[in-house]
Amino acid sequence: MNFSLLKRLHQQGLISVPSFEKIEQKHQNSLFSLHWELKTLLYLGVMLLSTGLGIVIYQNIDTIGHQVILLIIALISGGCFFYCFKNRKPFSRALVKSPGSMFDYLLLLGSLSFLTFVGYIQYQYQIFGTNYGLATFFPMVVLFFLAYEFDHLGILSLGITNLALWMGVSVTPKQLLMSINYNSQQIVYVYLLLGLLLLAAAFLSSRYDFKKHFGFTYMHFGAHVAFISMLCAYFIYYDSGYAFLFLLGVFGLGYYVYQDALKRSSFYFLLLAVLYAYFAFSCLVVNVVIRLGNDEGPIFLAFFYFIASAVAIIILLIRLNKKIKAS
Amino acid sequence: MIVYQKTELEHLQILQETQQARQTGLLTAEEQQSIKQKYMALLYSPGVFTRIGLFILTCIISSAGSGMLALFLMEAHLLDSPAWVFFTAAAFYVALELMTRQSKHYKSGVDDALILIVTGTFLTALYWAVFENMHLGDVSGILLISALMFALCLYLTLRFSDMLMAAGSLIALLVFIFFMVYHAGRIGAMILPFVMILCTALIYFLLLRLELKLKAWYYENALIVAQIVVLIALYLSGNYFVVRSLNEALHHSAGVEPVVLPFGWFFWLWTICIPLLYIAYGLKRKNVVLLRTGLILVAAAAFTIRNYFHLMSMEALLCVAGAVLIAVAYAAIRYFKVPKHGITYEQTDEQHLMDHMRVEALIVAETFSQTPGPVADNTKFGGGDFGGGGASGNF
Repeated sequence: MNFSLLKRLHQQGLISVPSFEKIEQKHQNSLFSLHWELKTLLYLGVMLLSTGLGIVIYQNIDTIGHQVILLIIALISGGCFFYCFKNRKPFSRALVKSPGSMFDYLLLLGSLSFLTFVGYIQYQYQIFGTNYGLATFFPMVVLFFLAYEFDHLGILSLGITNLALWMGVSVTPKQLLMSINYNSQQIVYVYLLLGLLLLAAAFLSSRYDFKKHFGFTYMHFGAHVAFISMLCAYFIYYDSGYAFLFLLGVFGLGYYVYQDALKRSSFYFLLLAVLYAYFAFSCLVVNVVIRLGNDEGPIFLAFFYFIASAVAIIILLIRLNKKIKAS
Repeated sequence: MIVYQKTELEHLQILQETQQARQTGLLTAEEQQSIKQKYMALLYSPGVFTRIGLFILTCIISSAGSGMLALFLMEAHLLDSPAWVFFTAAAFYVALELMTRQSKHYKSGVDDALILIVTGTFLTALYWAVFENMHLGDVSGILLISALMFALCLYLTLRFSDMLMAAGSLIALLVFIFFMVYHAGRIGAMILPFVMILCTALIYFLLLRLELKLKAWYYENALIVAQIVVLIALYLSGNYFVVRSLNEALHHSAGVEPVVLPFGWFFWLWTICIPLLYIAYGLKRKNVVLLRTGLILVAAAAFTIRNYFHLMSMEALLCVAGAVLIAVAYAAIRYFKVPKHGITYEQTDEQHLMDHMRVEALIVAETFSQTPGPVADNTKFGGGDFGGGGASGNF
C-alpha cells in the first residue's frame, strides 16, 4: 500500500474521510504476514510425510496385509466424510460458501482416499471383475454427488475427469495435448461427445439456475475438449472432403462460445473462441496455399497472410476487451 | 531513460493502487470510479488472458515477418553473414519502440514478446558473429558476448522496466565476472568462489541501497527480481556441491588430478548457514525476498548434504523431514495466531480468494489427472495422493 499516494488523493478530495480513516488505520497497524510461507511449509510437510509413510507401508505390505491397509484408507476417508457431513452447511442451489479451509482440505482428502480405496480394492480383489465401466462409473457418481452436495469446484473437476475416464479417455488439457494418440477415429468421436456433453451441462446449469457458478468449470473443459477434438478430426480426415465439415463445426462452436462469453462478459472464453477459430481458419488457408504448389509465391502469400491476420486479430482482441470492460 | 511519459506512469500507479485498495475494501466503488475518471488510463495494460493472447499473436507476426525478410534476402544471397540477423534484431527493436511509444503498450503481451524476441535474435547473431566469423577463443568469446548482453539487457530493463531483462542482465554480468576470474589462470581458479561471493554480496548491497533511494516505482519489480537472482547466486557461489564440482571440472580441463577441496569446512558452513541467515534476516527486517529465497535454499542445502552423507534411507528421511516441517509450521502458526513482533499468521489481504478458487479447481484436476484410474494407478499406495491434495491450492 502506497500511503503517501493515497494521502495525496485524499487531499484532492477523491477519497472520503471515512475511507481515509480506514486506510490510515491499516497503515499504522500494517503487519508482516507469514501466511503464505507457513502454509507452504505445512503442505510440504504433509506431502513429505505421507509420501514417506506410503513407501514404508508399501515395502512392508507382506507383514501388514492388504486388509489392514484398506481398512486404514477406509478409516481416513470415512473420518473425513463424517467431519464434512457434520459441519456442512445446508444444501442450496446457489453458491454455498465453505465453512473454512480445514473443511475444504478434509473433503479433498476424503475424496482422494476414497478414490484410492476403490482403486485398491479393484486392483487387489477385482471387486468389479473386468467390468471397468462400472469400476469408473461408481466413483464418478460419488464425486459428482459430493461436488454438488458440498459445492466444491475441485471435486467437480475430479468428477469431470472421472467422467472422461469412464467414457474411455483421460481428459485434462495437459494430457489432451501430450499423451493421447489422435489417430484413432473412435476416440475423437468420444471426445467430441464428451465436450458437447460438458457444454450442455454448462448451459443447463445457468439456464435452470442450478449451481450456476459450476458453469465456468464445465465450459472450460467442454470448450477445450470440443475444439481440440474437432481440429483433430479435421487432420484425421484431411484427405477426404468431409474434413471441412469439422472446420465448419469449429466456427459454429466458436460463434456459440463467443456469444455466451459476451453474455457472461468473460474475456477468457472470448479469447478461446477467437484463437481456436483463427487456428481453424489458418488451417484452411494453409491447405489452399499448399495446393497452389511449392514455389516461392505461395510461401510469400502464407507469410503475408500470417502477418496481416495476426495484426487483425490483435486489433480485434483489444476491441473486444474494451467492449467487455465497458459492459 | 524509460520510454513512457511521466504522467502516463503516474496515472497507471494511481489506478493500480486504488484497484488494490478497492479490493481490500478500503475504498468504495464510487471513489474508485471518480479516481478513474480523473486519472484516465493512458497506457494499454490489459489483463492476463489478453496478455497471453497478444503474446502468442506477436510471436506469430514476428516469425512470419522474419521469414519473409529471409526469403527476400535469400534472393540477394545475403544470408551468409550474421549481418542480416543483426538487422532483424534492429527491426524488431524499432517495432518495440513504436509499439510502446506510439501505441502505448505497457506489459500488454506485445511488448513482452518483442523484448524477448529482440534479445533472442541479438544473442543468436552475436554467437554467430563471435564464434563463426571472428574465431575468438572460447573464453574471450564468452567474455565479449556476456559483456554485450549485459549492456543490452540493462538497457532494456531501464527502458521498458522489464523483469526478465533485469534477471538477464545480472546473469550476464555474473557470467562475465566468472570468466574474467577464470581467465586469470590457476590462481584465478583457486580464488574463484571467494571472488564470486564478494562480487555477489557487493551487488546485493548496492541493490539494497538502490531500493532505498529509488524514486521510480516502476523499477520496483525489476529490482526485486534482480535481488532474488543475486541472493541465489551468492548462495551458489559458496555452496559445497557447486564449488567442489567446479573445482573438479577446472582441474579436469587443466589435465591435473583433482585435489582435495581447500577450505572445505568453510563451504560446508556456508552451505548450511546462509539459508538460515537469509531467513533470520528476512524475519528481522520483514523482507519477503530474503525470507522466501532462504526457504527455497534450505531445500538446496538439504540436497547438498544428502548428496555427500547417507544418514538414513530415503523413506525415513521423508518421514522425519515431513514430521519436522509439520511440527515447525504448526508451532509457528499457533505462535503467530496473535500477532507478535509485528508478524502475523493471518492473511493481510483477502481480496483474491474467490478469483483463485476457479483457477485452483483446474489445478486440482491437473495434479490428480492420474489418480482416478482404478485400472492403471493403484500399485502405489495413496500416500502421495493426499499429500498432493495439500499442495495443490490455497483454499
